[in-house]
Amino acid sequence: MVRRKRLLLGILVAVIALLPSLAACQAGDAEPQKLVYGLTLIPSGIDPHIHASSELGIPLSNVYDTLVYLDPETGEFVPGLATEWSVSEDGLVYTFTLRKGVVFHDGTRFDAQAVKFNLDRVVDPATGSQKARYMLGKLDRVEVVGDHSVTIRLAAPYAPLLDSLSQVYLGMASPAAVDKWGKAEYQFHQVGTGPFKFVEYIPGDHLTLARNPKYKWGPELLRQVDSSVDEIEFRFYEDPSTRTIALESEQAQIMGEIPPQDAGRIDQAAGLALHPVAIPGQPLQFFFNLSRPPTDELAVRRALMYATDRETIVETIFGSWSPVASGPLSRVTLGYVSDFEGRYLHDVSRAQELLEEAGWMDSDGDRMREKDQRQLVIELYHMGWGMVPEVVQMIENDWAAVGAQVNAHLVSYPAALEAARAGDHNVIPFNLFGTDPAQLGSFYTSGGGFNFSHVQDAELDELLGLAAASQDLPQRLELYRQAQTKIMEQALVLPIRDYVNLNASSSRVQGLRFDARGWFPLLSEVQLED
Amino acid sequence: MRAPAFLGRLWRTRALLWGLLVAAIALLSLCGPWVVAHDPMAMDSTSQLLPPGRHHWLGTDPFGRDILSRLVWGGRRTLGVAGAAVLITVGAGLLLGLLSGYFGGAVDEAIMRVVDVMLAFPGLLLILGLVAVLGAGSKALAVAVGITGVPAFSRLVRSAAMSAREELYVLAALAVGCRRRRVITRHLLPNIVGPVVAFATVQFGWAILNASATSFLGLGESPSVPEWGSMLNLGRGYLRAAPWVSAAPGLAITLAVLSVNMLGDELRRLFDPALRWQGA
Amino acid sequence: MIGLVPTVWAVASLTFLALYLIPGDPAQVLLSESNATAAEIAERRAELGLDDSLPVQYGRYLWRLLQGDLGESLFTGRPVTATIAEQFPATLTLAIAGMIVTVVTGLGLGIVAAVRRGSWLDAAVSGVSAVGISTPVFWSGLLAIWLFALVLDWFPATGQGGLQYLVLPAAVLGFSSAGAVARVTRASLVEVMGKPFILVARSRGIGPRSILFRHVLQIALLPAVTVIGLQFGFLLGGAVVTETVFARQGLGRLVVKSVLRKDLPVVAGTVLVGVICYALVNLLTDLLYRALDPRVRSHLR
Repeated sequence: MVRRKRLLLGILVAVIALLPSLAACQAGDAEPQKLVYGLTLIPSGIDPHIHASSELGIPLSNVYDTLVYLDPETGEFVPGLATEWSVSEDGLVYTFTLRKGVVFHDGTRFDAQAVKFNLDRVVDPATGSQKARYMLGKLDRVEVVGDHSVTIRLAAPYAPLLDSLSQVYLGMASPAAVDKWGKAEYQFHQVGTGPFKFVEYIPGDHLTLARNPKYKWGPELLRQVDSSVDEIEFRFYEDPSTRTIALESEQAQIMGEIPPQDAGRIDQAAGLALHPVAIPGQPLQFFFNLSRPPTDELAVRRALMYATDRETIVETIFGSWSPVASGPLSRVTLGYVSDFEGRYLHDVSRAQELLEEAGWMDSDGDRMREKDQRQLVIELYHMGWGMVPEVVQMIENDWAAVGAQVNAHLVSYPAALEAARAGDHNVIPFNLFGTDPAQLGSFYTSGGGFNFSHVQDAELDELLGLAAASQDLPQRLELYRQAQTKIMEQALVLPIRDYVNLNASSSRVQGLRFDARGWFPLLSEVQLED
Repeated sequence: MRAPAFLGRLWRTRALLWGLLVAAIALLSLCGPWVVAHDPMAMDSTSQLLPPGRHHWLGTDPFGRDILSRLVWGGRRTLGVAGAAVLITVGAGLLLGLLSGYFGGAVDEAIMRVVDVMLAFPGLLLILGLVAVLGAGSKALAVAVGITGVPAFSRLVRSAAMSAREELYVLAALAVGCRRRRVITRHLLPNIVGPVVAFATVQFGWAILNASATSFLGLGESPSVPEWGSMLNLGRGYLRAAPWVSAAPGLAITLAVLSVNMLGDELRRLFDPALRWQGA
Repeated sequence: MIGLVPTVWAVASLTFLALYLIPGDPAQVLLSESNATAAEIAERRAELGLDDSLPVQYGRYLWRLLQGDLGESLFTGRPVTATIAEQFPATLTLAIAGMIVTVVTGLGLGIVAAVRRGSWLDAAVSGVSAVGISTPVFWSGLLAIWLFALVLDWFPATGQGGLQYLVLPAAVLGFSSAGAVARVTRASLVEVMGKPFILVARSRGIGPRSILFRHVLQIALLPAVTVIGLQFGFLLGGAVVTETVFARQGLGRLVVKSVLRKDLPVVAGTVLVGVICYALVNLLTDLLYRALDPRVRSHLR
């Protein structure tokens, strides 16, 4: 018995004695050509053909090439794996001429057959695609015309097709590798033609890419530099509070989605650099439900818009890093119109006037309005992430000031989506990102998957339908302008702020740029100075 | 037991001291809302993140709300949820544990099976699942946290009851024909007060922690409602820019749990005959 | 082990029911970053069998479980067994390391407090354990990262790898339950030290250290063992938060995410692994109990 006690004591002493040496042997000196890139969320899966998260594109848009690229500076489509392309007049037939001499990381050749294989895989119901399948419009079939020529035939015109084909979700994977590994396992053995090769992925821990020395066929916007980093390890920092610390303690050299309250300090810090990138798509916004009182009244919706002090909300929560949003699309999105800047500015007396005209009065002196024995109560459903709870608190405060009581329900993501679908809400936040304005169709057409305003407006349906099919860009943009005007006239949505991804890096990192979607870095020319 | 002797012991054991502290915290949380100068919900964009000072004793949060007012109002909510949760845990746990420990046999077997099933879920997961099912809000939170504590608590009561059941005076009471209910309430219950109080106080701290963890994981109370856990969670993001935002709720949680635990310790000494006998 | 079957059935059924009751539609979550139409979302829901009635879904679920098939995640499309096999070791490592911290510091502090009962040391231990009990892991974790990784630069802030990555999370996690263990240890030590046989031993002139190690500890550790056994479940729960704060891989993070998006196969699989762990810990606790308790031991002989 005594011996056992001594043993225990011995272990204890050993552990205590080991502690300082553990501290000493930490990995402080990373190899110069290896870079750690901090991601924020762990994606549920990382096969771009199957899974949907923006997070997966940050590493993988450097593994896959796409048929075309969208130049972030000019907004034009430029050649990628396709050197040229043409679209038939009716918008139904797209023909691509493919680049020759392109080789997948596994050594197999890229050709027309590979393009057909990839697109067929995406639309195959057995693949279970969560995003890519819905980016191709009504795809009829893909035809191999020659070794390096391929035709995509649509059943109905779909204007955003080139935009879709320029995204990682429709990137070109090696057919041999996809066949070899099968649906569930391919995501751990991905093979593309891009500037980086996929090395390994341990879910929840890290994802590693290595430089592809053979990469010669990239578009001009992916300039390959000889001295670029050899290896990039992506790690997941889900807790925003630890992101800046990880950067400052040299655990990571690049980090996405820095909390706004840390951004100022990073901007000032000697060894760090801040890279704010505006994200095209929709702003942080709240939908008003037209099918549930009291937000079925236009006057109430408008009053709530006027009651919201967006400038103060954005300044308080996002600092000076994000612009205040004014309409259904953010400033850097194709189809954005500035018509609504200066509309619905904070105006408490205007809000009160509107409510009073609509018969909402405070007759019992409790500072909350009522009409026909009904209190002015707004049911607000929201999720607990992405600064949404903070924004909700300020909205509650603003709306209470004009006599509207907010019942805020903090719920899980599925529950929020379910409430929105069922129409239990008066107000709910939601948004998606994307470069093409066709995204508005999901939100403001009667059959849209995210029609959280529950709007049933034949005119809006027609405008958005025509716009998604039109091949004439000026005409398209005019249709989207009309649609957005209608959306804001009807006060379907309360926009709060345009998204800006606050990336930060060690100042040793050089050449960090981002693609047209804003989320995805172009890593081929990133260098790490000593 | 004579009153003066009891009071004397009360003083000696310092139970009074901790009891007073607990009472002060509870009283402040109850009546404080009428005492504090600021509206805990009132935002002020001109006084955001002010350090503690003469006007705002504990400073202000990122929205310009007065932290002291939120702390006092939040005490109501936080201690209320934790208290309700502990009541649920203790009530259900006592019932199940006593039944199980007293009757033994098939009753014991059935109850312990259920307890085993519940214990097999990691606590936080059970709470999260229950909150997700029941919906957000303080009532749901209290129920979820309370239920989650039941299995471990009934286990503890059961083992205490089983050992007390073998004590001579209980056997004697049974032998002279006391009715079961009387044996349970008059003889078993008083003799397991010690461990029950000790565990209930631990449970109290645990309830506060778990309620705040749900807020960290993105569920739980609506964030504008002043509540210590969500205040602490908000303050985390400002750890370095404005440490007072998190310091106040963090210290409040620790102080509340500490004093309740200490009170529990002292009460246990007061009630536990064995400890009393040795004058510990 | 046969006795485990009804428990497994009950746990599996409860998990199913709870996830069924959580409001929301996995198909809608699955397609929430696409521009699928409402009709396409409904179609996907039917494909996943989520339109079927409760008994049908339950029957299908039980039938699969009976065949030992945990199924595939609704979201990753991977077999649940593969996911668990890959995430579980990290969580187990963290929980065991946390357990070691809990046992060492909990018992240590408890013994010190009991031996020096009434002194300032006792009061200090009470304070420390109360801080442990009352500090949320998401808060102490952040403080530890800030202090030990950024200011002092002793340990890496986040991530995993060698032992140096394990120290901070294990310390934070273990400390959170060390308080409870310390309190129970102290209380039962104090109680045992007042028992007649100890007084007798003392009166016979046996040294205090010998009394402590030979007689008191053995008996006094029994309740501590029970509490430690119960703490293991707590540690698994705490791992959820610890993994998030320290950016570590693990089952905890996975299962919380899966609950919040209604990924039934993953939740069920993880919970069943938890049941088996719990049964094993119980078994261990029982064995320890027998090894420690002279009464139970002699009974067995």
